[in-house]
Amino acid sequence: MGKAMEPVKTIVIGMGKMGQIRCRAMANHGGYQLVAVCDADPSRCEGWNVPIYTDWHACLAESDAQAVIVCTFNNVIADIVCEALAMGLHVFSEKPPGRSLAEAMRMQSALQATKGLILKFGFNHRYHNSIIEARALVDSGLLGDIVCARGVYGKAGGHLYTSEWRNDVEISGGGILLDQGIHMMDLLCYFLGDFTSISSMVDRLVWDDIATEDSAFAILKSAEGKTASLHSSAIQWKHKFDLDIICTKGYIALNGLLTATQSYGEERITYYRRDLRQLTGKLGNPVSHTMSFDTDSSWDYEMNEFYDAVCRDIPIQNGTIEDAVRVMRLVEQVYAADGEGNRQC
Amino acid sequence: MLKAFDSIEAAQMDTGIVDTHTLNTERSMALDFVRANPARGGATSCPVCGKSHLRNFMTLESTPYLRCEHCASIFISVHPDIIEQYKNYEPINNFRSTEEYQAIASEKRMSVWNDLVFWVRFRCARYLQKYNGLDVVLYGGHYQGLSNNLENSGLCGSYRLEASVLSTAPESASSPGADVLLYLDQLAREAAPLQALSKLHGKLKTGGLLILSTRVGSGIDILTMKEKIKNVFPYEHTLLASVNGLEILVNHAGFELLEIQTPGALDVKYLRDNVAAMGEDNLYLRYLLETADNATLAEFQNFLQKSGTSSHARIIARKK
Repeated sequence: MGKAMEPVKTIVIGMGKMGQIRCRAMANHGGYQLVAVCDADPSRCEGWNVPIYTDWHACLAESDAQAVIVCTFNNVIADIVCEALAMGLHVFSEKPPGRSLAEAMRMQSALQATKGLILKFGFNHRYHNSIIEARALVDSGLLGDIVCARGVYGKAGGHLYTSEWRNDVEISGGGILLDQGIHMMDLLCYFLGDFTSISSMVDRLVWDDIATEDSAFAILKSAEGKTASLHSSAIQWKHKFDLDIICTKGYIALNGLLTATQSYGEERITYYRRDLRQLTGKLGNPVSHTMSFDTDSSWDYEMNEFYDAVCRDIPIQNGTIEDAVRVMRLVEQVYAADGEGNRQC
Repeated sequence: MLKAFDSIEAAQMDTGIVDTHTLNTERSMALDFVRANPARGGATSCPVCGKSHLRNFMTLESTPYLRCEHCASIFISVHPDIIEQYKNYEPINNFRSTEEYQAIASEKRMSVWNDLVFWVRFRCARYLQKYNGLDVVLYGGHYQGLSNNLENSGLCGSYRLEASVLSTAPESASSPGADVLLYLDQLAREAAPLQALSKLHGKLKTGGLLILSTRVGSGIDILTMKEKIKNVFPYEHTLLASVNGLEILVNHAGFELLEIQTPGALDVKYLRDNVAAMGEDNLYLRYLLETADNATLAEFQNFLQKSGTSSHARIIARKK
C-alpha cells in the first residue's frame, strides 16, 4: 500500500487494559480514525461505536484499515503481526515481541518481506519523563561516559497471581522477566547498548505453584566493558522501579515511575556531579538535583511516533524490530544462563 | 508544559550566599534613591495579569506594596520612568562594579554558579539538543564571576553580556537573535514586566530559550515575614511576581512555558535566623522552626521547593 494520509484508519486487536489505553491515546492524537475493534470478549469493545469483531483474522480481512494496534496476549502477537504485515498494514504491537526470540525473528522476517511498512513495539518506558531527562543528560556528555547501571523493577503478584495468564507459559512465554523485566532490559540497552556476556539466576522464590519465575537476577556486560545488573521481581511487595546510571563524572538515579495505580511512587530523576574536592559538601554527599513529574505522556508520545513514521516518513527511533529482537535475545540468554537452564524453572 | 519540580539539596547551604555588609550597603543606597524618588501609587491594575483586584500588602520604607488577589503577585505602584532611573543610579552601580564587591560575590556564590551553569547546559541539551556552540546572551546582572563562568563553560559559541553595569557594549540588534537568553534576578526590578519580556522576546531566535530566575511573591518568606523581611527593599524589589503570575507573563510575551521550578534553598534558614521577628500570627511556624531537628527542616525546605512555595523561581520558556 502507499503511504497513509491523514487520518490513519486503524483497528485495535485486543481491547483489554492496553487496548483501551491505546484507543484513548489515538483519540488524544487526533490523527487516527478507529475503524474496528476486536476482542475475544466483545463486552470489552463497548463504547467505541465502530464495528466489533471477535475473530482477529476477520477483523484484519474485512476492515478498511491502514494500521493495526496489537494489544493481545503474547501467544498470538507474532501471528497477528505477521499476517497484518503480509496484508500491507502498518503495525504497532505491545510488548513483549512475542513469546520467544524465534517469534521476534519471525516478525523481523515478515517486516523485511515488505516495502515501506512500519513496525513498532510498545516500550513506553522510554517515553517517561524521567527517562527522557536521563537520556538528554547522558547524551550531553556532561556527566562523562556511562560505565555501569543497576536496574530493579518489581511488583507484587496479587491473590489471583497464580491463575493469571501471565504465568501460563503456553500463553505468556515466560514469567515476570518477560512480562515486566523486559522494560528494564530494554532501558539498560537504551542507555548502555548491547550486551555480550550474561550470567543469571532465575527462580521461584515465593510463588511455588506457578510454572514461571517470580525472580530473575542478571549481570550483563557489553563488549566495551559496560556492566549492568538487573533484578526483575514478582515478589516486590511494595512496587519498585529504580535505575541507577553511573558515569565517569557523575551519577543519575531514577526512582519511582508514574503509573495509573501510582503504586511505584513518585517518578523522580536525581543527578549528582562527582565532587572529589568536596566543594559542595562532604565526600560522597554532593549537591543533588531532583526533578519529579506529575504527568505520564508516554502513551501519547508513542502514538505520535507511530503516526509520524506512517504519515511523515520519520524513522522509528524507539521500539524498532531491531530493539525487539535484541531484547528478546537477551531475555532468552538470561533464561538460558541460569543453572536451571530454562524459563520454566 | 512539563511540570517539573527541581529540588536542590545543598550540603553547603548553611553558610549562605549573601554577605550581610554588602546587602546592607546596597539597601542603604537603594533607599537613598527611593526617598528622593518616592512611588506615587495609583495603580488600578496588576502589572502581571492586568486584573484590578488589588489589596494593600505591606509598607516597606514608606513604600506601599500591593498584592493582586487574582494572580497573587506583589508589586510597588511606581512609574516605569523612575525604575529606569533607578537602574542607572550611579552610586549603586558603581558599588557593584568594584573589585571588592565582585570578589566577595564570587567567594560566596561560585559554587552555586557552577551548579547553575551546569544546569543551564543540561537544559539546553534537553530542549535544543545542543549544549555547546550556542549563541548566548546574559541580559542584565552584575556578577562578573557568573558572566565569566558562563562564557567559559563551553556552552557558548558566541557570548554577549548586555544591559549590565559590567558592560559598556551596546545592546544587540534583534536579528538574527540568540539561541539562549539568560535573565537572572532582574525581573524583580521591573515596573512594566510584560514590556521587559517582550523586549527579550525580540532578542531570541524562534525556538530559542529564555531562562529566567526571580524572587517571587508566592514564597514562604515574604508571605510569612511581610514588612519584617530584611532582604526585600524598594526598588530593587519592585515586582515579586507569583509563580502563577510568571506563567501568565511569559505566555503573554509570546513564549511557550516549558518548565517552572522554585529551587530556592535558603528559605528555612532565613526564617529560622529571623524567627524572633516573626509575628504572633505564625505561632505554628515559629514552633516548628524552634523545635525541629536539622533533618526535618531540610525536609521542610524540600517541600517548599517541590510545592512551588520557595522564594525563588526559575523558568525555561521557548520563543514561539
